[in-house]
Amino acid sequence: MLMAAVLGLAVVPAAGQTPAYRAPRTPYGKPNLNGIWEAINTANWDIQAHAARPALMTLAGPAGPIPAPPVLAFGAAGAVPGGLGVVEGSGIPYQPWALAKKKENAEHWLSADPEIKCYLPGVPRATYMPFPFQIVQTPKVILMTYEFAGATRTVNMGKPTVAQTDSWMGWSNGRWEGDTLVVDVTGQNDKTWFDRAGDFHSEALHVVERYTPRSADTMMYEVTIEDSKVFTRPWKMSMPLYRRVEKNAQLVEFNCVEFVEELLYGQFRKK
Amino acid sequence: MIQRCVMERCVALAIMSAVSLAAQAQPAPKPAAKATKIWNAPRTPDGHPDLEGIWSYVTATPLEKPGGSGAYIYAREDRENPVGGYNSLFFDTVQRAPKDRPTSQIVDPPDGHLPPLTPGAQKRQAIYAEKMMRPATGPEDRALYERCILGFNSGPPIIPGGYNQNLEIVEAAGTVALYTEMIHTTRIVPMDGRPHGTLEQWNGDPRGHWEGETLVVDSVNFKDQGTGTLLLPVPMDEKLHLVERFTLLDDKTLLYQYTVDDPTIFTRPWSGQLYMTRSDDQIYEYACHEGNYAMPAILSGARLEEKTSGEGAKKTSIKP
Repeated sequence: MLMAAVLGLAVVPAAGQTPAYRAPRTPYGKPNLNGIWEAINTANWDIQAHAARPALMTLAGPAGPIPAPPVLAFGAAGAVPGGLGVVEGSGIPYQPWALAKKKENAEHWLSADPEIKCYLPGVPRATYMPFPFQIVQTPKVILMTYEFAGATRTVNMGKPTVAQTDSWMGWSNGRWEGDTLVVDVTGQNDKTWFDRAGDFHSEALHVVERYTPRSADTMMYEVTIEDSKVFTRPWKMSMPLYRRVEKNAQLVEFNCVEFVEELLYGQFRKK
Repeated sequence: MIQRCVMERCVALAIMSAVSLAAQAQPAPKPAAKATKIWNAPRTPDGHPDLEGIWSYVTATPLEKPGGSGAYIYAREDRENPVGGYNSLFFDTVQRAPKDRPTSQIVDPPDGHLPPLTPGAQKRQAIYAEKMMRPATGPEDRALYERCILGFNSGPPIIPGGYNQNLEIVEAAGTVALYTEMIHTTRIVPMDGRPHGTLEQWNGDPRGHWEGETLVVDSVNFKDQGTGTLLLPVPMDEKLHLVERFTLLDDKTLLYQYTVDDPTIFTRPWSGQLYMTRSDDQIYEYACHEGNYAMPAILSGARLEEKTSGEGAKKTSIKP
């Protein structure tokens, strides 16, 4: 965060945020973030601004790209919806080698994106995948559990602890800054991506998330990404999160492990 | 931990050591339920008993009373193939037996054994055992816990064994989360009185309420081949009705009681209980699927075995 401040990236209220909003309190006096939340955007397709395109895997056609054979059958359901992006400022500040790597990742999306294999998505991608997640909040710990792959992390709200080993979902320490829950995530491995467009990081990734209530059913989610091995400077994403307000809202299992067995192990089946 | 192996063999060793520990204990076969005394637990800010924290369910008490008729289908495989996968560092070790020295986790039937299987479940067991014993034709031949679909001790119900035996309980208004280290499974238990849903889920559809000091979790709508518990002779089915009870006995001891009612599998309902102990340790991510090197090894090994041992195979052409 010190580095972020030096570089002028200290978090400021995002456009559309209403800092004057005061969230309902828990019995212990903290903003009450309990509930089921979901992002509504196209960040999981591509965190940067992108026009709609025929598919995530394309070939050169006679007049522009056409879907590549492995994804052709999806038709419109396999097309990529456009979006304005969630990255603030002038794009992702990749180091030159890393920009080349990102492009290579995008070209090999189908075999390289960990989402395809039902691997744990890491932070922040877990937040803006097209699945809800649930916050279970207490004074000592805040549990965040994600519908995708049943990914779960607990945010330690006590004295900060240090990641003892790298993991897919990282090691989370949290604190309150006014109405904002600030979560510091370290100890993530280098295997997760930010999106289906090949945006990636190393194991040096340091994520600072800020969850700020902005109305009864929305909060702002702001993320600072720092990874000196991949980027030239810290950078930021921000997006609103929306409460799932259905009366019977609940997470349902998305245990995708069984869904990818054929993909991963089908080659070893007895013929 | 992300390394895996053919777990049932390893766990069989752990069970054997737990059994021997229990056998060393002096017999004190009074019903374990008598140890239950009500302790007024601290309250959460919402006013409910505070069961929060990380609970270890490592135990020296075997599921079934030793020496009985309880069938354990892997025992034979372990005798015939005494190849361990994990070393002793991997397994949880038992510090001491509970004060009341229960001889089994099963408290009902009172003989400490699982009730007989129904005829249908016996057939199911034979099919299951045959699948588990043969070289796997595909991932579906292997158990749910080898496929990383459910953990082998996290249930539900929770039946200890092996490693990763930690449960974290988090309570918020209207919701209790039960998060087990074994394959990072989180059960979100609505406490707001809503009725059961209709979707079948691997972990069932839990609904909770408080009965005095006790958290009661009532679950239905399991899937047919759940749950993933290793120590049961056969996976239970979608008819399972599971009631679990969590009661704080003192600051460091959580009593876990459950009743299994699955009339197509067991000829009568049965109940188990165990003591969980408060842990000062932390839960680490168990990325079971991401580290499942065992599954491709099991399957490719089976294919290799077919080539090398099949009739007319040219063994010299196989380069493992």
